[in-house]
Amino acid sequence: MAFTVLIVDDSPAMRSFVKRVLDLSGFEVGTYYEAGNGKEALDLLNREWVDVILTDINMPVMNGEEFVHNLTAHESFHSIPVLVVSTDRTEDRVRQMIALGAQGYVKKPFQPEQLREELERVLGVAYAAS
Amino acid sequence: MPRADLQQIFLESASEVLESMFFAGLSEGEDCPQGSGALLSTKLTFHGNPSGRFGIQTAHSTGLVIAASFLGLDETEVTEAQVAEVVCELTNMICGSVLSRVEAGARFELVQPKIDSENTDWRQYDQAVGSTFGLEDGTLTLWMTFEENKPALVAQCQVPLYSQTKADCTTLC
Repeated sequence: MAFTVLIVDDSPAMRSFVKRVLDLSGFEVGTYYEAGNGKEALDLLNREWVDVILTDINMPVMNGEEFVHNLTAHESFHSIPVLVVSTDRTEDRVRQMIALGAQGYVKKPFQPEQLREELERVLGVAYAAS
Repeated sequence: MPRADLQQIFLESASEVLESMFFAGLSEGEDCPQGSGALLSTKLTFHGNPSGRFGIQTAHSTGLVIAASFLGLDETEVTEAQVAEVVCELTNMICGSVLSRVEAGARFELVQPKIDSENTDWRQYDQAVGSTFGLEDGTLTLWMTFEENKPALVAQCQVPLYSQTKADCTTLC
C-alpha cells in the first residue's frame, strides 16, 4: 500500500532529505506533499487528503506546536496521524507535542530506519484504531 | 550537574550528525586536506540555561560536498543557496546535539542559523571554545561560547582528531 505523505518544514533541504530517506528505506509513498509552515500545511489539507504528516516544530508563520494543536482541534484533520521530526531532543518537548496530539516523535539526527520504523508504528496505530 | 569536556561533546555530536544525516565520517590524522575556496561560516544564538552562541566554519568546497551528500545530488547540481541552507541545517543539528549533552533535559531555543558573510573570528568571543575535525574532503571547525554569567566549560585533555587551530581552552573554576 502506498501512502500519501505531507512533509512540513521551513527548510526545503530538510524536506528533500526526508523524502530521499523514506524512498531509500523502502517505505512506500505514492504522493508527497510539502509545506513550509503550519499555515501552508493547513491550507493544503483543505484541498488534499494525506495519510500521515511529518512536521518540524520551529517554523515561521505557524510553528509545529500551533499546527498540531489546530490539526487535532479540526473535525476533518484530527484523525490524520502526525509524526514530529525535530532537533529539540528534550523529553519535555516530546511530552508536550504528544500531549498536543502528535502520535510520534523522531529526534534529529536520526538514522533512516528510525524514521521508517516510527512512521510504520504511527500508521499501524492509526489504522488499528480506525 | 558537572559540565563535560566541550571538545569531547563536539566530537560526539559532530560524529553523530554527520554519520546519520550526511553519510560522512570524521577522519583522524594530522594531514587532513583543508578544502578549497572561500571560508564558509555560520552562527546561531541559543537561549536557555545557559545561553550563548554556536557556529561552524569550513571551506566552500567542503560545504559543497556536504550539501551534495545531504541532498543526494551531484556536486554540479547543487546551487549556492542549497550549500548555504544545508550548512545552516548542519549547524542547527550539531548545536542541538551539543546542547542536549551539555545540559541534558534543559530546554533551549535555537534562533535560526545564518551564514556569517564576515567570517567572524570566533576567538574574539570571550571564553569561546573551538575544535577542528577532519572530513574526507576538508575540515570542519565547531565553536561555542556561553554568556558571561555562566561558568566556562572545561575544554582540555582531549586531543582533537585533527589539530589545525588551537582551541581556546578555559578552565572550570
